[in-house]
Amino acid sequence: MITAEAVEATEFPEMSQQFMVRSVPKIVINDDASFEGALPEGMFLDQVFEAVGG
Amino acid sequence: MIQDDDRQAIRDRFQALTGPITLVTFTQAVDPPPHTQETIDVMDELAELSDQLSVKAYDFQEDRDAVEKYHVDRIPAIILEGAEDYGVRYYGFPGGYEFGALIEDIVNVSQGDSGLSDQTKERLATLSKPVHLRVFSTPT
Repeated sequence: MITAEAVEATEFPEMSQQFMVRSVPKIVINDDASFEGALPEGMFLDQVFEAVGG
Repeated sequence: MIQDDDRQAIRDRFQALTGPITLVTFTQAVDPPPHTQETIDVMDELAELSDQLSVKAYDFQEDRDAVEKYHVDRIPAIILEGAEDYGVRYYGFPGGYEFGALIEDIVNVSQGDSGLSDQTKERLATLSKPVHLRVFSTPT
C-alpha cells in the first residue's frame, strides 16, 4: 500500500525541478502534495492522510 | 569507500539483522551516469559486513525483465528486498545523511518491520488508497 523512494536531488536535477525542490528534505506524496523539513512521525502521518483525503 | 570506524559501527548495527536481505542494484555499463560505480562499490562493501546481506546487480539497459519487475525508471537505483519487496528504493548515491537512513532501512527490511509505532500502524491500516512517497535530499 505504501512505497517510498529516497532521491538524491543533485543527481536528478530534472526531477528535482519538476517537483520544485528548493530545500531538503522535501517529501512529495503521490506526486501531488508536499512538505519540507523533517517532521515527527505523527505529523508526517497527518500530512499523508491530508494528501490522500482520509 | 566506507571508513574503518564506520565499518565496525555498521557491523555492530547489522547484528540486529534477523533475515536475509538483498541489495538489488541497477546501473549501466554503457554511458553510466555519475556516481553509479561508487554506488555499486558501497553496496558491495556493505554486503561484506553481514552474512544476511547480498548484492544482486542488474544492468538498466540489458536486464529489462528485472527493470519491469522492480519498476525502476532511473539509475543508479537500489532496492532493499527482504522476505518481500516492501517498496523501498534509493535513487542516486546514498551518501551523507542518507547513508545512515539506508543502514536503518536495511535493518527494518531485514526484520520485516517498519519500526513505526503501533499507533502509526493502526492509522496506516485505515488508508483508503496507495501512497507513494518521494523524499528528496542532498549529500551534504
